[in-house]
Amino acid sequence: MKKIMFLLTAMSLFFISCSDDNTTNPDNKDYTIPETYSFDNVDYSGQTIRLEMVEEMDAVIQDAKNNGTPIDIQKLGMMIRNEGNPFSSNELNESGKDIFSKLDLSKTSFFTNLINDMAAVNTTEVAENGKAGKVTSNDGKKSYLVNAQGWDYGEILEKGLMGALMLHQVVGYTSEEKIGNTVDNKTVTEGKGTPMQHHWDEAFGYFGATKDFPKVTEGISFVAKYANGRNGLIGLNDMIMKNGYLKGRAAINNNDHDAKWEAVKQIRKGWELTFVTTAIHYLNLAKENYTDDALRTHTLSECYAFLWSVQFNPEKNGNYYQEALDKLGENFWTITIADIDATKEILVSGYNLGDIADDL
Amino acid sequence: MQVKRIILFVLLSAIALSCSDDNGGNSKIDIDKKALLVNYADNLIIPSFENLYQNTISLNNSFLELKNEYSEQNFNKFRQAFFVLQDSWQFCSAYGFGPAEEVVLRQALNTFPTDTLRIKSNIESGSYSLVTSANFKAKGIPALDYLLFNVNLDTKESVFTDSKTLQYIEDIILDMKTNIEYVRNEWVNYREVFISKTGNDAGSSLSLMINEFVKDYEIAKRAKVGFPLGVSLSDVLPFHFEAPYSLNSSGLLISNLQSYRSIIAGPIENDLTKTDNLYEYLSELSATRNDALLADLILSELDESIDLLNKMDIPFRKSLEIPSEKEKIEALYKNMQESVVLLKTDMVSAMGILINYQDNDGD
Repeated sequence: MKKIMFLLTAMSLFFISCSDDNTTNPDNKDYTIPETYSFDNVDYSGQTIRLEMVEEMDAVIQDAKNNGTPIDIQKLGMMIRNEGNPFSSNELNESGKDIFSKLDLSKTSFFTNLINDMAAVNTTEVAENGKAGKVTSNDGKKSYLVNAQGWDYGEILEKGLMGALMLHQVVGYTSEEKIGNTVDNKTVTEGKGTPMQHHWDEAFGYFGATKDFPKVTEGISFVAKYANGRNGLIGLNDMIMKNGYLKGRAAINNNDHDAKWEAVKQIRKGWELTFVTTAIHYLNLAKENYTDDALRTHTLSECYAFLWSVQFNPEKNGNYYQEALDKLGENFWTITIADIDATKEILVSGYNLGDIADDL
Repeated sequence: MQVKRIILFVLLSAIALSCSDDNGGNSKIDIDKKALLVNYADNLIIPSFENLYQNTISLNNSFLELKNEYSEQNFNKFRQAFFVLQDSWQFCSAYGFGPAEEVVLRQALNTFPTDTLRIKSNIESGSYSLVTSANFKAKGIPALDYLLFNVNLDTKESVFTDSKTLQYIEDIILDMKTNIEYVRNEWVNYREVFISKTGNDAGSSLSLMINEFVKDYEIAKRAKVGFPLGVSLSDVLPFHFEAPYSLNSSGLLISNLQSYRSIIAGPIENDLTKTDNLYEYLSELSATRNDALLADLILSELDESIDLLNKMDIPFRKSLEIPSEKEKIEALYKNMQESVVLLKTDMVSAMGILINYQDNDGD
């Protein structure tokens, strides 16, 4: 796979560097797809605000860790619902936006339980199997707050929201109801485009990319950051941007419904592959740092939450993510190398990633 | 960062491939990579694991004799066998790819500091599974270092005739033997894979070997010297050295450095008619720094570290209490740090290899 990619990259560079052919429109459409998200009338400020809210929630956990104080779960509860001005800026507090109402309905209790569970952690005590607390890496450089099973609260919260909030919303905004062929694509609101265009832009807003991504990779966050992190091995940036968000928005602008639905497929597949390849990446790291309690519990928490987030893609590849979660189990203190290997094997064979799995 | 480097590399090589007329690629230099890999597999790596395996068998045999009948002589023989095994691991630690990676051999055999409280409670309870992460700190070479050398002359016999203690030692040795035997046996098949991947891309054998070599070197610098010295935290941690109970830490590090030295210089069986070791490879590439041949510089830095160690006659653990001795370890750390640049920057870029082992993402 990697060799093929290398060959393809090399071959495409051959065309770019040595031919005069300037084709940018392989499908012979009468419109071009831009290289950046530089369309007119784009607004996804509501999504950007929610991503900033997630960042501030994460900061509450970091503060507790750094200061040795209890995690302020009351504040987290207010933040997830945006009640009582919990954020640092009025822009967020008065935005009228919140995370909670945008969550997958079946998962709201997962997050409220997670936040309530954080009350149990004494941030000044060392965590161990069966006891929540703080766990520090062998070199003393990294520490994390984990529950009795070794779940890193910050990671489960943030990466869990990448699924239950972000992917869930992307799927919603790329649905028949929001961008189907009967949705209004004529009435332009200044600054926001048509309803169909706006829905598409909202789906883009949850990705965490900048408008210049992937030409420019600075300033990205959340899912875009992880797609970019694995991009060298599996080409996720092009899958999600070029063949996804950019292609689809250009298609909508030109009422090209076939291309639009092709783009939806690529976006959903790209998000899922970002989650799965990142989970494998963390399994590799967990194995490499198996004897370090902090690094093992932290990386396996990342892995767990990324895999858990796959469920929000309605077109997901089989049930491999669930089989992998079952194999991984939910206790990251007692997990064995054999469990880690077996979890990885389920994903590698299910997603046919054998050629790159060890390099992820 | 890493991705950018890969992209740049792909770009450069693609341009070179697609637009230039010379069809010899960029191999102006005559390097027989296959011969190099065969040389390293057959004369360095496989013999090192074979030696480690044989020493595990010997350790097990001497343990069984001690278990069968306690005597001062049997106890000393067991310790002697342990010393030999402990030393032979130093010549394998850098080969943490392929079969060794599968069983995370370095962590399974040599996680230190060992958790003495857990060892005691495991022995006491008699109920433990050595494959769980918590017990990686209570098994392997460092656990034996503790059990064999943290002994009191008065109680020695009663400890080494105690059935619970003996059972625990037996389980540790069995666990070590299982992992070592696996790696040694798997190399028979893996050898073919190893010598066939002659490129220098991320999956090639040269890339794997160099990555693990540099990584192991950095671990040696950090875990065996820097961390106990207190360079990461401010406090010195005397019991964080590799072998604090046998007081053998500096001796083991000398062996470790000699192992690194032979990775650069190649095994003594180098075929003089072929470019079959890293020293010649780097020389053929004309890799230099400040007008000196890079391969020579690396060897002289390693020799300098070995030299510094040879001049220390007080064990690491005890040196921390004596300012003039502690300074010697600090000088060693600084010297080992200098080689990191030569290995991790100059050497890998001369060979066109990417460092792809991962530091943690930091989030």
